[in-house]
Amino acid sequence: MDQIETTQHNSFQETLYNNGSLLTPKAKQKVIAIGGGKGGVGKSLVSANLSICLSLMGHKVVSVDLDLGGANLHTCLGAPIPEHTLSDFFLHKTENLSDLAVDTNFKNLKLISGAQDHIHMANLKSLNKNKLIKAVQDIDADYILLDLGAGTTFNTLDFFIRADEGILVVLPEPTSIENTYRFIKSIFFRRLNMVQDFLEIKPLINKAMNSKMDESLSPKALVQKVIELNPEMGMRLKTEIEKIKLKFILNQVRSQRDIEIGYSVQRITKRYFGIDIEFTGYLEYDSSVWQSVKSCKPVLMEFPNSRLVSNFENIVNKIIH
Amino acid sequence: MEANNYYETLEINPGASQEEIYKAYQRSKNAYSEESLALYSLMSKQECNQILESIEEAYSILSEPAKRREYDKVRGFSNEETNFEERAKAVRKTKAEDHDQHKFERYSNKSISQANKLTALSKFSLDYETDMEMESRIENTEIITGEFLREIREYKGVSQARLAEMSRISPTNLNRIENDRFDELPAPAYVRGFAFQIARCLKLNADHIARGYMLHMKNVNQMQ
Repeated sequence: MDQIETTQHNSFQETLYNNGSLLTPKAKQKVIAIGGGKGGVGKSLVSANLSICLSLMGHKVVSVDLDLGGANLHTCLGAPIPEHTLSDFFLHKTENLSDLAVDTNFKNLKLISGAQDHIHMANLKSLNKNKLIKAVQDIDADYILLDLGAGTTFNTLDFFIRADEGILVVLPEPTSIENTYRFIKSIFFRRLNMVQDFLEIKPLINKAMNSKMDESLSPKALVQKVIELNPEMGMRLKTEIEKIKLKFILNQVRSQRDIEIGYSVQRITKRYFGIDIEFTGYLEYDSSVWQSVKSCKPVLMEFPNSRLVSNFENIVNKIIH
Repeated sequence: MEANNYYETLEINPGASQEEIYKAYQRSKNAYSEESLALYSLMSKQECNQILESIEEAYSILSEPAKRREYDKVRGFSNEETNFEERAKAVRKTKAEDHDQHKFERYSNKSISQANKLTALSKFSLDYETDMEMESRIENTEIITGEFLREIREYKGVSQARLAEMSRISPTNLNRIENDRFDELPAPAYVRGFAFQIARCLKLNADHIARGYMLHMKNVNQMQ
């Protein structure tokens, strides 16, 4: 009996290793994915400015634009439309992503653009996806920032899950918050689906996944239910869920009330999903941001004394500890 | 999803200070209130009401030191890490010494072991030479300024850092109190609580001190 249990446990661990956080084991560098359920919440702006912040602090940074439909990271970084893009990677022109990294106006910051790659990126097969993830891992840099597209496609989710850190950009608005929860929910179930051991409880998981958000079986309740039905399986499920570590940044904050929404999201996520999400920081609403976007210049450089800059500093310090 | 205990309900650890409890209460209430944006699409009104009820219940117990002590005892939260129990015992003891010897006997006989009492005693003992002039000044001063509180503290030989540890009031807030920086302090009810707690730790008549400090605060605010 004991032996059987051990074998099961091993295969469980193997599964984890193969499907879990692929980027962590040998990586010295840190891969940070930036996502968010809704379009237009400022993901690219956040990615660009975090990248600049990190590079100004002397870290070697590569920003990768993985936004499918609307890649525009180069615009946020004030760089021209790049000559080399991820296209070259998928057309087998190169195996090494570092070849595609173009210089920006910042000494330590390079950019890999996906701007022309709608077709390839949108239809990324899992083989290509794994290849791309491996290649990202091989980039020579201290920090690799992945600017993900909106939505909850498997591509986006998988890059997010496999990064060392996943940061969501949220606006203090109902639509953005709703999509954020949808994104967290998708992460939750995508993560569970990666663990093959949970086959027996798939029907239950599927039922919970397909129920509407406000129906009674919350993800946390699901775990509780599995614990009741099958304690061993339930506890594993719980461990698996507790491994999900998320962060979020609240963008376009206009008041203290807006900031409080961040703390509320944190509490509710814990209660509803059983997932710890770190409220990494907030960015104050600043109309100069929009001016800066219009003039294709990075905010951080245009307005070095704005409060936004100190907001970014706080966030970066939290990310690098 | 039910929380296992009141601390979980408010998402704090069992060693949380009264200030932290209050803050967590405000945040929790905020999160599940009807107008909370953060709830959008996730929970039904009924669920929220249940949660809000449990938050109120948790706060009603944890916000009152006596009820909290009782709860901690029943649920086994008297952990050494936080010294909450020790602190509570010492406060009880101080209160008892100041006001009612019998009460002290009753409390101490109840459940406190000798060893616990000794550690509590050493943690909260004061080492100073009684100065009759100072004692009568404290007794006869009606309006207690922050500066006077500092003077008393120094007379009792307690550093600000030690008082912070004894009273579980943050050094920042102690500083604000001693420097009369009222606009940076929380609501008056809490300031009164701070003054009360400081007085207890310094073995003073807590009612007198708290009243005196609040009078002072009122006067200053009126002048402005």
